[in-house]
Amino acid sequence: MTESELIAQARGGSEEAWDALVRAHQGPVFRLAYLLMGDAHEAEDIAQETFIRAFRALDRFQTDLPMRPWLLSITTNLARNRRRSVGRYLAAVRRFVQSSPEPVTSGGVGSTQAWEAETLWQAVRRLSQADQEVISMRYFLELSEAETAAALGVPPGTVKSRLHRALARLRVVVDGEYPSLREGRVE
Amino acid sequence: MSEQPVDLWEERVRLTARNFPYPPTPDTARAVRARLGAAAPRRGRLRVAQLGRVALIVVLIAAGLMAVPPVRAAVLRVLRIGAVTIRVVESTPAAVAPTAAPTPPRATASPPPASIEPPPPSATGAEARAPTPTSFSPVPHLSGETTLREARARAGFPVRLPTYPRNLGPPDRVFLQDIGGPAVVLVWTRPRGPDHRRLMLYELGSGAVAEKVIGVEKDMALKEVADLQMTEVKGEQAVWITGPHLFQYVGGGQEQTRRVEDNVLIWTGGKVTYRLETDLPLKEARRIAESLR
Repeated sequence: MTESELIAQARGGSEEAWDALVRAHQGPVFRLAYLLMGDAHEAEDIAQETFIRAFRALDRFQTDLPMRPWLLSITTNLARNRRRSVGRYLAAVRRFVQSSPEPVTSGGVGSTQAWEAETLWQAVRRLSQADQEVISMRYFLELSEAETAAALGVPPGTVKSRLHRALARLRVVVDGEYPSLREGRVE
Repeated sequence: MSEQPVDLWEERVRLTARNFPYPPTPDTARAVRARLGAAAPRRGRLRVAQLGRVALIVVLIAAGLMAVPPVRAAVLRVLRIGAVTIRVVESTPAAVAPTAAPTPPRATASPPPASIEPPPPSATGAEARAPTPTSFSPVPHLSGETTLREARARAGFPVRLPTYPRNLGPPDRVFLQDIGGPAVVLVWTRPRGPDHRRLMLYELGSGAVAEKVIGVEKDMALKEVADLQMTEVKGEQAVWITGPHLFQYVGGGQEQTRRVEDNVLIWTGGKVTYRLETDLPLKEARRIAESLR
């Protein structure tokens, strides 16, 4: 069954079809929320809220479009609102905790790679909300440029230029504050 | 400054980021179904006692904090009323045990906001004096005490007062706090007459976010049933929780527990979320809620 067919069935009241849609997209939705909020508990809440809103707006959704970017745009908006609503003090606490340069990850195969990725993410979190969004989508979630554009509601050309500037700003942060990442190897 | 050209840097970022170790994706479908289902009934009674057993712990968590008490339990029901999210979970004592909250760093952060209930004098905070026939239970220690006029000026939203019962008058004590957004607490302490009861009204403005996690726990010392019931106030969905229950709050880097003797009605009006704590029954509590001006 195609996604459009599932959406049509979900609109018609099919719980199974709706569940299938949620399961198909809950991974990226949760992961994007996690990247933007830095907290699994909040990410879970945002993920649920994303699907609740999507369900309520399902009638208005254009079924010939892919669902994922639309869902991720809802997630992005929720994350923006949540972060705005957190008091200055709480935001300061979070930044302080996440500015620690050497995160601890459990050992095991590939743990160096995981550690590098986590460190890179901590550097990303020093950037603006807009920079975090575009980098999270394009590199962490590995969305295509077209998907990223759709999720952010901007033309693909804008994604390109935003990425270019965000990467430059990221490099400044990494060079200055995450020396352990500076010398790396491209594998 | 790195010598790598931009496209090599981009490649580096791309190859590094794809190894990010995400936490496991939770089963969203089930929780979404539960929440969509919860939104439907306007009136309905959820007998928490049916689901597991007997004692009820209500944990209030200010959203956005780093240290959320671990609740590794099946989510049975999730309800959202304005700024307050209520999760009903099946829990074990270990799952909802208080954890050490992180000490906020003093060096760089601005002073922490006044929390709603700083630790009470007793060690556990779980004891409460039984009310005597002629006086009310002590008001929990609240910070941010101010005047009604000050609270009105600074809250950022219209602070409303109940007009029922008719002889109620203005509150005896007013508190203004910050839990991510403004929270005003109005307390009527002095009895106005033989029929006057305890009232404590919380008004949470936009930005203030709060959560309650209700754990149904087996074999707890507190062997009383507390109920959770859906109802409505002026056509808006509301929740009614009958006490007594334990109320655990994590906020502003502190954590404490107190025993709530009374019932709690939670509802929304515009952008403000209201929480009324009273020993009145539901019908009276709703009348008070609907009388706000």
